[in-house]
Amino acid sequence: MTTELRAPSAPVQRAMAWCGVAFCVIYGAGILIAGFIPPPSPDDNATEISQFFADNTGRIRTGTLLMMLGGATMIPFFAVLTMQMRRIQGRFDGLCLAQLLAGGIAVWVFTLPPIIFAVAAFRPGQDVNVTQALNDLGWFLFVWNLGTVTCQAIVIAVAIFSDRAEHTGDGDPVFPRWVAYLNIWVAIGFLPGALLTYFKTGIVAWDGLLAFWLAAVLFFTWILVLFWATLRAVNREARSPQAHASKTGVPA
Amino acid sequence: MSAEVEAPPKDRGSGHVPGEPGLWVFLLGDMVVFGIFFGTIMVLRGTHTEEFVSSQETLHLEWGVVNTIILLTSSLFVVIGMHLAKERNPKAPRFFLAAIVCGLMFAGVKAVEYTSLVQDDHTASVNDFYTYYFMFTGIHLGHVVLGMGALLAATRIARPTSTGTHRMAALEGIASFWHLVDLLWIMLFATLYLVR
Repeated sequence: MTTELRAPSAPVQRAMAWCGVAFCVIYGAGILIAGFIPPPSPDDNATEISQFFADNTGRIRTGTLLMMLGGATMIPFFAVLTMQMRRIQGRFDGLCLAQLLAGGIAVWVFTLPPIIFAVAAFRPGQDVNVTQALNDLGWFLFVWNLGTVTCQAIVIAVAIFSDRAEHTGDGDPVFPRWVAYLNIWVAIGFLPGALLTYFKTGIVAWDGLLAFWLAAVLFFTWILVLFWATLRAVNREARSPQAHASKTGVPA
Repeated sequence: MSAEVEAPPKDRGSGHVPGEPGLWVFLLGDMVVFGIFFGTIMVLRGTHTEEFVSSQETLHLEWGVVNTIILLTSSLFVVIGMHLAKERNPKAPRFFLAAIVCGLMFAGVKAVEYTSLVQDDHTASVNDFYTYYFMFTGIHLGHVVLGMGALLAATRIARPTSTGTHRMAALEGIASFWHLVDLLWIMLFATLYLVR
């Protein structure tokens, strides 16, 4: 097993970490270009929704294209995050595996909604009820699909809390503990959105203050903080004496 | 909520942060979420005053008062428990246990309240007031359950025999969360039951 634990080179890991920023820029730009800020209200009728897609066909097609491609940039990011998490216990443990699984599925969580929105914008002039149903589906997949990310945030928090700084070589934990607390807040902050099936207006509707606005701010803050913490961990790993040990296949 | 918390409580002169600084990222974050709740209630009161007041009158004010007293008492137990734990007094764990009992009583009262409201057909789907009442108090009740789990850990950490370099930091973190749960309830009680 030991040779499999050899860390990838620091420059590659750094580039993978920066993919998290690339995601925020590309995906965020996609959402803005598509005109999803603010989201169409779940209270709008089928004709209004259909009109929204008919009036913004070009924007939505371009925006969703960026979102679809941007979602994939999280693949290298979650991979390097997992690589750094493995340094907490000095091996690839269950929490790393759970993080990797959640990250892999999360990429689909990011990628499916733009695909659905693109389908909704594909045939302007179609039955308004079809467009409305696709719009509903898109927003449910976008905002209600919060179980994976919530689970992922908890897994990351537990991993950081379990860090006894025994394997980093410099006596400090891999990730700062406040990042774990931020993950717990993210997990809790996403939960009110789970109630959006009951509402067409108000703070937990899919365009509401809690379900959408707070969740969106939390989400991008979460990714950027994880990026910062991961990049910092990569740089410290590169400087630590164990970096040389792990390159020769001897984990601590 | 483990006995061996890594980061030491940082003493910077008189500016001691209870628990560990990182904990406050979560505590203040949670306050933001509840701040949105309180704002929502006040906006609803302003825009749907009649519906708000008539629905509010169907709430059981006396049970709300009882629950407020229960949680305030539990916070007092936690404070006493913290003092005893600092002195490694063997009685410390039983005060955290008393706080858990208060938490269970709170949940019991809430269950009676919910049942009574539902039996009177004042369910979450009747109007926005009841929707938010059930949603916000339900999310708060989730916090109470989480807090009782943390207090259960505290009954172990508070033992005089418990080791772990940052024992008091862990206890302070749990106590801070429990006080937050108490504070949020007082705010919920004031905005949902009392404000006219």
